[in-house]
Amino acid sequence: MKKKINEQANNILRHTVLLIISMFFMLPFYIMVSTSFKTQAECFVYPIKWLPENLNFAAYQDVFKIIPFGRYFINTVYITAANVLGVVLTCPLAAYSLARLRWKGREFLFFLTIAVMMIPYQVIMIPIFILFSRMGVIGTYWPLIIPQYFGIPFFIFLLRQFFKGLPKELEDAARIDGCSEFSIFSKIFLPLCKPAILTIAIFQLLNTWNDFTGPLIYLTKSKMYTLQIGLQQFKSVHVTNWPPMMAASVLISLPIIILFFIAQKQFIEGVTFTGVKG
Amino acid sequence: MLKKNTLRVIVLVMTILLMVSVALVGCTGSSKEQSNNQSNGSKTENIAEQKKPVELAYWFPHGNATDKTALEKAVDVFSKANPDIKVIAEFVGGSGSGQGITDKLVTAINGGNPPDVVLFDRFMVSQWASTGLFEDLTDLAQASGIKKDMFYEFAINEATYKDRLYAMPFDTDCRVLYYNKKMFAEAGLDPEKPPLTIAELDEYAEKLTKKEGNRYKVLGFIPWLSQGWLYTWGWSFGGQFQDQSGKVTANHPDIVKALEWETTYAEKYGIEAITNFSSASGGDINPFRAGMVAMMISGPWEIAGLKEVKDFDYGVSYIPTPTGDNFNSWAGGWSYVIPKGTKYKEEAFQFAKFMTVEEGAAIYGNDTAHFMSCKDLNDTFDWVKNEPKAKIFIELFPSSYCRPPIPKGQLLWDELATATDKALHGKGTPKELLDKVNEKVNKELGF
Amino acid sequence: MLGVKNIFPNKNKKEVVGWLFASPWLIGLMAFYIYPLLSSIFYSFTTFNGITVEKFNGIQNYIDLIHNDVFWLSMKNTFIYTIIVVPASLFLGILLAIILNVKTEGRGIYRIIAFIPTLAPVVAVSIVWQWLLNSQFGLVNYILYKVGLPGPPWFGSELWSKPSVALISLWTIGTTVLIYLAGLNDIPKNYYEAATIDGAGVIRKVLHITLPLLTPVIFFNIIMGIIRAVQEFTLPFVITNGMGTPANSMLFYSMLLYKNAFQYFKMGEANAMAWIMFVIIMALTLIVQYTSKKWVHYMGE
Repeated sequence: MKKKINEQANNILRHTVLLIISMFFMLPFYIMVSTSFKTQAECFVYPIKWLPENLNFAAYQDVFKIIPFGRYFINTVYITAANVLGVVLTCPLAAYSLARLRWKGREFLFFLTIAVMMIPYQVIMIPIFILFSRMGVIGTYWPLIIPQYFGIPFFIFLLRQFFKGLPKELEDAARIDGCSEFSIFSKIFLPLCKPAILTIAIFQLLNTWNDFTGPLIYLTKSKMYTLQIGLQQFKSVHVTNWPPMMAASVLISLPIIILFFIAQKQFIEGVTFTGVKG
Repeated sequence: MLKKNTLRVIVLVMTILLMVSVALVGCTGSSKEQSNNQSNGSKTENIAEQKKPVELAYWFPHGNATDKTALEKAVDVFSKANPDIKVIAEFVGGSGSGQGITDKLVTAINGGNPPDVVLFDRFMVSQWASTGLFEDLTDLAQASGIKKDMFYEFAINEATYKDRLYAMPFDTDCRVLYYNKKMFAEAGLDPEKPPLTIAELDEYAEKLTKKEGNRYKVLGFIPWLSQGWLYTWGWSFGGQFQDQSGKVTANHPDIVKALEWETTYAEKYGIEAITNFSSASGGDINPFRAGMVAMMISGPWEIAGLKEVKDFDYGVSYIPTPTGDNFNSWAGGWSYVIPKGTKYKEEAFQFAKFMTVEEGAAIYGNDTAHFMSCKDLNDTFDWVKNEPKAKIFIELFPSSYCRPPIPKGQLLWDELATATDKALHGKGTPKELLDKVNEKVNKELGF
Repeated sequence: MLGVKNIFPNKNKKEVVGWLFASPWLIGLMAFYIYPLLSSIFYSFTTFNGITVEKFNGIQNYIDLIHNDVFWLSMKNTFIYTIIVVPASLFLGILLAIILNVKTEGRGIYRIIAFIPTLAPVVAVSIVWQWLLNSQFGLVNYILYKVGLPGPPWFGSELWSKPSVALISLWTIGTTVLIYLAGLNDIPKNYYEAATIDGAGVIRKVLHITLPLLTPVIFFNIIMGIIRAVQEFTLPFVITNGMGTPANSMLFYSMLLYKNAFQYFKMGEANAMAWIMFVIIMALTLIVQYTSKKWVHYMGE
C-alpha cells in the first residue's frame, strides 16, 4: 500500500517537472500560433493577449494568396527527400570506414573531417558557387542536392562516434563466421545503428527544410523556390504584417512536427539492441 | 574470400551510383519540364510576333503583396507596350537585414549569372558602382532625354558616383515628426501646435511622460526611436556629413551637438529603461502606435499602418530644429540598376526608364501609396489628393538630404549607429566617438 | 587453418576496403571543402572585394585585423557567449535527456514538445522571443512585475544581451537532447540490471554507468557545441537587424565576418577572419581531443 502511494507521489512529481519544462518549450510556439489568429493591431496590445479576440483565419487565407504555398511545399519536399536519401547512403559508409576499418590515413581523414566543419559558410560560399556555375547548374536544384551525396562531415562524425561505441566482439564473431567486410557492415553494424541513422536523417530533413541561404543563392526562378524563401515574402522594408508571417511559419513547421511524431516512436522507443542486450 | 569481398564492394558502389543517378533523373526531369513550360510560353508569343523577344531577367526584393502586385502590374503594361522585350520578373528574397539582395547579387555577378535589371537600395549604389558592379547609365540617359532636374536633388545625388549616373531613382520617402494629438490634449498642450524648436521638443517630451512606479507608462519622446538616426538629427542641427572635397565630416561641430543633445535623454530617463522602446531590438513593436510614446520620428509608411488603429488621432510636423526654422529631412528610397555583364543594356535601360519616369512609376506610386523620386508625379496621385498628411512630405523633399554617396556608405552608416549607441550608453563622449568614426571612414576612403 | 587466416585477412585488402568505403566522402571533401578552403586561404592574402582580386596583399589583412578594436570586441563577445552556452547546453542537455528517457506515460509527447522549438523558422522564433523579452512590453517582464520581481532589461543592456541570446539558443536544445537520447538508448539494459542487483541507487547508476558510457556522445556534443557557438550568426543577426546593438555587445565574430564580406566588400579580410577563427576552433578542439583520451570510453576498443 505504502509503496503504491509512494509511486503515485513520484508520478505526480515527475509530471509536474515535465510540465514545467514543457511550458518553457511551448510558450514561444504558443505565441506564434496565437498570433497567427490575431489581427495586426492585436499583436501589439499590452499586456499580451493570450487568445485572439475572435478566431481569425484571415492570415491563413493571406498565406495562400501571397505565395503559391502548394508549389513551394512540393519543391521543398522534393529537395528534402533527395537530400535525406543522400546522407543516409554515403555518411554511414564513410563513418564506418573511419571507425572500424584500419587503414593508413584514416586518422588524418578524421582530423580533416572535423577540421572542415570549422570554416564558416560565408567564405566557402563564393568558391562553391563558382564551381557550380562552371558546371552550368545555377538555377537548378543540383547545387542543393549534389553535396549531400558526397558526405556531410557533421553526420560522419556523429555516426563514427556510434560505430566506435559498439562492442568489438560483434565483428570478431562475424569474421570467424567468414563474413566479408561489406556484409559485416551491412548485416551487423547498419541495423544496430538504426537509431543513429534515423537521427541523421531527421537532422538533414530539418537542415534542408529550414535552409534559407542555399535556395536563396542558387535558385533564380520563383516557381522553383522553397518555403523558407516564401516566408521572406511576408517581410518588408519598414512594416511587417505579422499574423500572415506567423501563419506561414505554423504551416511550414506543422508537417515536420507530424513527421517527428511518427518517427520518434520508431527510433527512440522501438529499437532494441538485440545483439548485446539479451 | 577476397573475390567475394571485392564483388560486394562493387555492388555497393554501383548501388550508390544508381541512387545518385535516380536523383539526377529526378532533377533533370523537373528542369526539363520547366524549360518546356518556358518554350511553350515563348512559342505562343513567337506566333504573334514572328521574332523572338529579348528576355530581361528582373530581380526585385519587395515581397509584400501590395508592392509585388504593383510591380508585376507595371511589368505587364511594359510588356504589352514593348512586344520585343519580355521582362521576367522574379522576387528575390533579402538576407535578413532588409537591405535588399546583396549576397545573392554578389555571388550571381561573381559566377557570371547576373540579372539584367535590379531594384536596388539607392543608398548602396555608390558603393557598388565604385566596385565596378554596375553599368554606367550616363550616356543612355542623355540620349533618351533624361534630365537631372526631373528628379529631386537628393535622389539624383544618391544615384551618381564621380559625376556618372549609375542608377535610375525609383520611389522615395523622408522623415517627419509624428505626434499623438490625444496625448497632447491630456497633457494640456495644444494639439494643433507641435514643437518646432528643440527646446520646445524637450519641454513637451517632459510634459507628455507618465510614470507608474519605476516603470514608464508613456515616454514623451525618444530621439533615436524609429527613424531618429544620427543623420536625422545631424542635419536638423545644421551639420553636414561630407565637405566639398568629398571627405567625410562625421565630427562636424553641429553633429557633435546633436549627439550630445541625444545623450541628455539617455541620462534623464535612463538608457536601459527606454532601450527596448526602440525598434532595433524591440521586435518590430511600434510604441507610438501602441500609445506608449507620444512623439516619434518616422517615414510616410506609418500613415497606412496608423489607419488600422481605431480612433487614433495624430498629426505630422517638421522635425524640430534648434532655431525653429530651416526645416529639413533625410530621404532614402530605391532605384533601378543594371549589373555589369548583361547583354541587353539598352533594353534594360528602357525598362528602368519606364519604371522611374514613365507609366511604371505612376502605377507603382499610385497603387502602393509611395512617393516617387520623379518630382512631377507625386501631385498626380489619387492617394496624395485624399491624404492631407502627404503634403508635408512633398513640401520637405526639396530640402531633404541623402546620405553621403561614398564607396564606404555602409561602413559610415554602421559606424555612426555604433557611435550613437555607445554615446547613449555612456561609453565615451560624443566628440571622441565621432572623431574616431571620422578618422576610420576617411582612412578607408583614402584621405 | 584456412579459417584462422580469414580472421586476420591480409593487410592490403583492408586498406583497399577502407579507402573504398570512404571514397564518396573523399570526393566530397575535395570538391566542397578542401578546394573552397584553399581558395579561401588565397583570398585572405589579397584585396579581394568579392568580384575581382586587385592585388596580392601579403599578410596586410591580418595586420589590419589585429589593429582593429571592433575585431577584438567581436572576438570577446563570441568568447563570452561560448563560455555561457557550451557548459549550459552540456549540463541541461544531459539532464533533459535523462529526464525524458525515464519511462513515463506520455513520454513521446514530452519529447516532441522539447523538440518543437528546433522545427520553427528562425525568423518567426526570434521575433516571438523579442516580444516575450521586451523589457517594457514583454510578457516575461510583465509576469515578473506582477510577482513583484524586477525585470531584467534583456536585449536592452550590454550585460544581459548575451545571456538573452544564450537563452534562446538553449530553447532550441532539442537536437542536442536527441543525440543524447540516441546515445542513452545504446547503453545495454543489462548493465543497469546488474547494478540494481548490486543495490546501486539512481545517482550512482547515472554516475557510474550512464555518464561513462555516454562519453563518446558527450565528446561529440562538446566539439559541435563549440563550433556552433563560435559560428553563431543567425540569432544575433536577425535580432539586432545586423547591427549588434546595444553598444556592439551583440556583434558576434561571424556577423563581423559577414559584414566584411558582403556589406563592406572586404572579402579578403573576411577570409582572413575565417582563418583566424579556424585556428582558434582547431586549438580548442585539439585540447578537447587530447583530454578525451582520458575520459572518453569506447566500448569497441
